[in-house]
Amino acid sequence: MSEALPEREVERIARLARLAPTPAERRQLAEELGQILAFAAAVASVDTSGVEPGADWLVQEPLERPDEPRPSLATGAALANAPEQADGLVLVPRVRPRD
Amino acid sequence: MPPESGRPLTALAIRNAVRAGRLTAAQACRAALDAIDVHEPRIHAYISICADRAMEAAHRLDADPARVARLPLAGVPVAIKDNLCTAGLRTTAGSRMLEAFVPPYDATAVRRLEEAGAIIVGKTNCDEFAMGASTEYSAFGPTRNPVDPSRTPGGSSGGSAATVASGALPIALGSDTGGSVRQPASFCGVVGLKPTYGRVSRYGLIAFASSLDQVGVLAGTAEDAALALQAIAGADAADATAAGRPVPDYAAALEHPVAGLRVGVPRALVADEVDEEVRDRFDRACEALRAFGLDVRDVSLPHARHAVPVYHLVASAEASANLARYDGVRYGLRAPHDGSVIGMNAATRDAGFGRELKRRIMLGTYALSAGYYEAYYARGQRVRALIRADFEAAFREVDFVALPTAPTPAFRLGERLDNPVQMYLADLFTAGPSLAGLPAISIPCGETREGLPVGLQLVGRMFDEAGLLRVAHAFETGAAGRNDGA
Repeated sequence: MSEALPEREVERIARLARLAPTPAERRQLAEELGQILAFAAAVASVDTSGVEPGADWLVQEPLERPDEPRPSLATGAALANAPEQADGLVLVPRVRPRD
Repeated sequence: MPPESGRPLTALAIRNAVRAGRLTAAQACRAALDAIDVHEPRIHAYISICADRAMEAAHRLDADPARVARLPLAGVPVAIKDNLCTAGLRTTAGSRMLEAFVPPYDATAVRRLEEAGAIIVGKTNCDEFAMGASTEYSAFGPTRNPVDPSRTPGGSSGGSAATVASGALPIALGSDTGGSVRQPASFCGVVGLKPTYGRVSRYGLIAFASSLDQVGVLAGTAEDAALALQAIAGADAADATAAGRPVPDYAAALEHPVAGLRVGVPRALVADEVDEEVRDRFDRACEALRAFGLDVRDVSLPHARHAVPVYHLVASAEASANLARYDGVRYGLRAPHDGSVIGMNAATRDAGFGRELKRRIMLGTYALSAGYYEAYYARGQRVRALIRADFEAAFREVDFVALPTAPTPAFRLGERLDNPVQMYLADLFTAGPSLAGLPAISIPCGETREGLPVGLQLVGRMFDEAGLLRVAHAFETGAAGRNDGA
């Protein structure tokens, strides 16, 4: 049986991930993440000395496009899916308190 | 389509009939829509069906015979996984987060299919943001396997695999990050091709794990998969990771002989945790390859057994970064909130993402967070490099690596929902090639005693889709020619 992740760790990660799990969800996530991390722990036994962590080999023969100005998405089209908008801008709740 | 032989028409047959004037695009499209209507109550392969849009496109095509005569997919009805953007057509990625999202542009692969004459009839169901192996994590309800509706079609491209397997249409696009085209192809008994990372543009594919995501093809035959890949492959100014390398003539490559090609089988890996009947069908498939004149021999992939945990560390980390954009600001859902920006972000993400998404975002955030990055993400990337080196070594001795596509045939709905790790193991043989960026194809290689399809996976060198399609075509036609049902 794998060890659950401490709940304060779950809280810390949830804050970083901008998620707001309920206490019941936190307990469940603690269990499940514990299981998944125990499963992933096997990777720690692999000898990786001298191996670089990058994946530069992945992108082969990339093609660069000329750096030229060209039309982009029109404001109306870009905003068409915004949950709240006005005057060509997206609206969000006030970030700083009113003076 | 009038399947007089009892088998649905291939894309090639439809294309040829439309070009010859024996069939109109509108007739082909109508037949596909009618077939979808018949199958849909049983399998739920679609999130959206766009009948009017499709019929309009078909009529436009029929009105221009000179154009039709040149088009490689003239009048071929196709379906698109709902994580590929379609301009003006809702694209949900299987998530409540994007339930009302209407993209302002087409994914490059979608645009190229349409330019080749294909008619989009609908957007297929998938696990939320393509994370899952059963299509049960869709916010729009599960898809069922047309072969046995009590079972899943696999995932995440389960809707695309199911609609092709139902015979409603010959080609559907999917996406494959760790097996999401190949595994459902295996479960449903169709062909599933995951091209090399960079062969097909990812522009307009809703991002899950950017170093792994690749647009792929579900089709009834290798020949149709070749037709579809021909249309969508190639450089794209909108995706810097799309390779500039020229696209070969895949249809021509199908005709080249396969005798003498070398196929490696990593025996030690296949011995692990594989369903007995799957192993038996896989062994028989290897025998069949040998009978076609291929040189089948053992190879070793010593790090491949770490592929699933490595995949989940790397993919979840990338997903946690990619999904940060769903914050209730520019597009997608915004949930009722406490009036603060952070409260709005969290309420939105909480309401918009399903359980599996939250698990993966949490895992990825953890693996990238201070103090854990080296132990999890960086270590995962190092083992990933070793997995790739194993394949490179194998490809010095052989031209292809053969594996079962999935360790089991299609499992039942609900069977793995409460056990994330068990669900992840469906990627046992597909995650490795994905981590290595390699092209791979799943082709049907028989059925279990219960009649469930089993898939043979072939993995090729970087950019050797032509080789994979050629062996798949030979296997398909050879198996059909022998007609022994094996």
